[in-house]
Amino acid sequence: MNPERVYAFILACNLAGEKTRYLLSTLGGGRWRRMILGPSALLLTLGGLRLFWGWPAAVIGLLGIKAMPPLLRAVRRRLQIGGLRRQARALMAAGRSASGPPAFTSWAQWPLDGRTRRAVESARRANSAAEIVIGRIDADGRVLGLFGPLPALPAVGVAGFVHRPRMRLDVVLIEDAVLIRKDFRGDEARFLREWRALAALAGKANVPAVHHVDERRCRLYKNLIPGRTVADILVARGARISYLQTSGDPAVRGLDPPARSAAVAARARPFVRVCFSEDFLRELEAQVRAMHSCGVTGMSPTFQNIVVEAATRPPWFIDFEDARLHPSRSGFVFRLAQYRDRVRLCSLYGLDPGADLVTLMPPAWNLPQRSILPRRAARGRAAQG
Amino acid sequence: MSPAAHLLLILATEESAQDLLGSDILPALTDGARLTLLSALDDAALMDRFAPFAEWIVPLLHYPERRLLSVVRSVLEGAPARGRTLSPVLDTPRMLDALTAVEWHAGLRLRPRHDREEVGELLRVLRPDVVLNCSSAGAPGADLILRVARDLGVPTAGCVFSGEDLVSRSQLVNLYDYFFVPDEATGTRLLALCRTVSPARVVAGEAAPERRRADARRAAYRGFAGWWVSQRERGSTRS
Repeated sequence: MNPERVYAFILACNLAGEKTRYLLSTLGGGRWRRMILGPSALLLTLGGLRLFWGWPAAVIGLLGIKAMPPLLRAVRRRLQIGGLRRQARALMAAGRSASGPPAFTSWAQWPLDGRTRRAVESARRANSAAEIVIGRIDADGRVLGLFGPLPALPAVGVAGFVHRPRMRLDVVLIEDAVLIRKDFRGDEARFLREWRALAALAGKANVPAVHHVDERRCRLYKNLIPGRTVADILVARGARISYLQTSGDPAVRGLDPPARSAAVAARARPFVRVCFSEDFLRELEAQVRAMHSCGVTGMSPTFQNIVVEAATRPPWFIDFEDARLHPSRSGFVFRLAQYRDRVRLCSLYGLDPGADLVTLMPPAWNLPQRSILPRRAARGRAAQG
Repeated sequence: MSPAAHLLLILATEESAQDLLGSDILPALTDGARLTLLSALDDAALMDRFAPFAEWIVPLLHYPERRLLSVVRSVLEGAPARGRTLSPVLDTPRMLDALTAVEWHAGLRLRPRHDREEVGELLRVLRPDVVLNCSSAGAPGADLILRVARDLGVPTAGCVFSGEDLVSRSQLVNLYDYFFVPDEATGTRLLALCRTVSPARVVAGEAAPERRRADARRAAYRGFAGWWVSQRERGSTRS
C-alpha cells in the first residue's frame, strides 16, 4: 500500500474528529447543558457504585474515579514540560557553542527618524530598566510605536489597534538589540515548543534567532525581522483576511476551525500569485523542507506567520508554538507530520503539490467547506416554515 | 519632588486636547518640569501642537474591561448621584464605602493580569511624579492607567467639569487623589457626594457660574496649573 495514502486517510480522520469535536462543543445549551449533564453523570456513577458498596466506599470510589484522570494528566504534563525544557536548554547551548552568538537587528543601525530615536534614548537615560518597550504589535501584525513610528514595519494608530487575543507581542530594546518579546501568558508548553524549535533551527532555516528567554514568565526574546507579514501584503492588495475582517464576518465566524482556515485561504488565494513571485513561493517550500531536514514539523505557514523581509524579500517563519522536534526522521509519525505540513502549505498558497503529493490529497481537503451552524439554522427555519 | 518633576497628562478625547491648548497653561506646566502626554488621539496635526512642550507623546491604548466588571460597576453606580435611593440598604454611608472599596479591587483585579502588567511597565519606564486625567473619569483608556498608577503609589489628579461628571461616585473616589473643579459650587457638590474626599484635595478654579463647558474645562486646567506650580515651589506632591 502506498504509505502516503495512509497519511491522507489519517489526516482525513483527524479532520473529521476535529469537526465532530467542534459540533459537540457548539450543541445547544452550552453552559447549562454542562451544568446539568456533569452533575447528573456524577450522581449516576455514585448510584452505580452504591449498588455494590456502602456509602463511604462509594464516595471514596467516586473521588478516585474523578480525581485520577486529572492527576495523571497533570503528572504527564509536568514530565512533558520537564523534557521540553531540558531539550530547549541543551539545543540553545549547543547552537551558541557551535556558531557563536547570533547577530540581531542593531538599534544603532536601524534607520529611525531623529525624533523617535531621541525620545527612546531619553527614555533609556531616564530609567535603568534593562528593556524598554518601543512598540506593540496588534492582532493583524501592525506595530504601534510608543515613542514614534518604527521603520520597515507596518504601522497602526491608536484607534485602529486591535488587541491580540492570545500571545502578546512587543518590540523591545535591550542594549543594542531590537527584539520581539513574545509573552506566552503562562502557556509553558507552547513557550517551550517554540523555544526548542527556534533553537533547533537557528542558522539552518529562516527563523529569528533567540536572544534570551524568561522561563519564569514564559517570555521569549527573539530577533526582530524588519518587514511585513504575508497577510499584510495580501490585505493591502484587497484580500479580506485581516483579523478584524474575518473575526467580525458572520460568514467566517460561524465556521468550525478547519473550515474557517479553508475559507480564509480561499479568500487569499487569488491574490497570492499577484503579490508574490514564483521564486518566493518555491523559497517557502524550500524553507519547509529545510526545517523538516532538521526534524522540525508543525511550523505555522499561515499568512500572519510569514514575514517578508524588507530588504532582500526572503520568507521568514516566525511561529512555532505547535512545532514538534522528531528524534527519528525515518519513523511513521515524522512522515505523517511532514506530509501534513506540505499539504497545509500547498492548500494555503495554492501551490502545485508536486509529483509525490498529487492524488494524495484527502478528499476532505477538496470538499466545499460548509458551516455546521448555518445548516442547523437552516434546518430550524425549514421546521418553522 | 525632584528638580525635573515629571507630569503625565492623559488626553483621552479631542475636546480635552483642544481645551488644554486653549487654556495656555502648557508653558507654566513645563517651566522647569518634564511633560509626557498619553494620548488616545490619532490626530498628528493636533499632537504636533503639543510637541514643543512634551518630552514624550505616547499612545494610550484602550484596554477593554471584562463584562463582569461592567456589571459590578453598574450595580454600584447611579443611585447616590441621581439623588434618589436605589435601596435603603445600598445607600447607607457604610454600605457605600464598602461598595466603593469593592469597586477599587474589582476595577483592578478583574482586569486581565497582562493588561495591568503592560500599563505598570509603561509607568515604570516613564516614572511620572503626578498623573493628571484631562478628560472625564469615564473616558476610555484612562481608567486602567489611573488605577495602576495609584496602585504603584503615584499621585493621580482628575478634573470634574460639571454635575454631569459626578455620575460615578466610586470611580471618582477610587481614581483620584486630587480634584480640580471649575468653581466652588462644583467643589461643594463633589464633597457632598464623596464624603471620604478631604476638602484640602479639591482645588476650585475661577469660572463664572454661567459659562460654556469649554470655559469650565479651562478653569479647571488653570486650577491644576496653579496647584502644580505651588507644589513644585513647595517641593513635593506626594502625601
